[in-house]
Amino acid sequence: MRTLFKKTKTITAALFCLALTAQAQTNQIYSTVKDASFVLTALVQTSDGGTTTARITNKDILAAINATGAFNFGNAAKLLFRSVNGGLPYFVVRESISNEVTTTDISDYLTLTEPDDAVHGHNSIVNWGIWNYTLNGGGGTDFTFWGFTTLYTGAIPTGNGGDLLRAVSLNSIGSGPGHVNGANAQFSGKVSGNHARLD
Amino acid sequence: MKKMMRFALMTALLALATCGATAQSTNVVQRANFVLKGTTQTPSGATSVRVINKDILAALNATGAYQFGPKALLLFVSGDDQTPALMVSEVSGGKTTTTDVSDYFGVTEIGNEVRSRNESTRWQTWNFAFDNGNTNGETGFQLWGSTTIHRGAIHTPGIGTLAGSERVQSDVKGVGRVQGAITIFSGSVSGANATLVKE
Repeated sequence: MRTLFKKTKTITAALFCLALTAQAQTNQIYSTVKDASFVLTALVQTSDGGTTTARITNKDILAAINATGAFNFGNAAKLLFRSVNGGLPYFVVRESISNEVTTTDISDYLTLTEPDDAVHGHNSIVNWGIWNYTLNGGGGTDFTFWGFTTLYTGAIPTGNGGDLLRAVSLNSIGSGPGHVNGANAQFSGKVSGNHARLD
Repeated sequence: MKKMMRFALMTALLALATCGATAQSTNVVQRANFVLKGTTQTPSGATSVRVINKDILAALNATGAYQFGPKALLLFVSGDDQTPALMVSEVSGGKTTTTDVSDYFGVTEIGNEVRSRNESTRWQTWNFAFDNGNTNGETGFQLWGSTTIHRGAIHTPGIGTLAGSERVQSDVKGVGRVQGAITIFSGSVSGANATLVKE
């Protein structure tokens, strides 16, 4: 009887451990990053009453973020979309300084929100949504940009032989108002995210 | 057909002119035209829908507040170079009625505009907010549009000539519902056939 009880206890403990392992696997949090690329054209009011166009890309956005005084990103800094468990991404900047990689959350300055739900294609292979990008930069450069966003789902290798089904690329095409060096501007263009990888 | 439409528009304008004869401000009235493509959620994926003026008028009718007929016209009405209000006019039994539908449908400008040197063109960002509030199948949207306003001299016999918005074109993207189903929109909104009316 004592042996039977001992065996039962062992089996229960083993089952408990299995359950814990399974639970841990279920709760595994996966973060992914994608290279972010802004290619915008701004129609800018000039001081003499005319207009000019300006091209706004990642380096201008990083310069505007540096101009807030909160950061000092270098030329090699990379702008990334970072997503936790497939959620709406936020922006981080990653750079290598003296062989040390630092990742900085800049979502207080470059913000991404989704004003409503997304539409999901068959098996969620392609999904569509409206994304709002807001830059609160320094030096008089800012924008709010609404983009028609298409997300493509694919497999991201997890490194342990498995794959993670996540958005592997995206593009947002749209427009919005803002300022370039303090002057009124209307922006249009594209934001894209590519080269998804586990983070 | 085109002649009939023009006659209906002119009649509507006359009605607008006579319904508020005491005030003396001048409004610019344009015929509004919505051509939207929607990607809408279905149980098995997504499908494409087209949303144009008649669908918006049908959705307005679904509020229970209106009974617009198939010949009703959607109008942009603006005074003092302001962002327009949306109104519906129709001729029924020889009588023209013009109805302000801004409780359900509004346009606002976001941010600051950019103007061309000679003031002939203005670039703005417009937000179109429509919601019929129908609990049995809501239809509505929030659209954000890169908007180009072409200005010139608008002449209307009996009223005079005024520099204002001759035509407007907005390339929009947005999100909303079509009969309750989440939908992502893109398309164009335009205003044309500008005429002056005394309010």
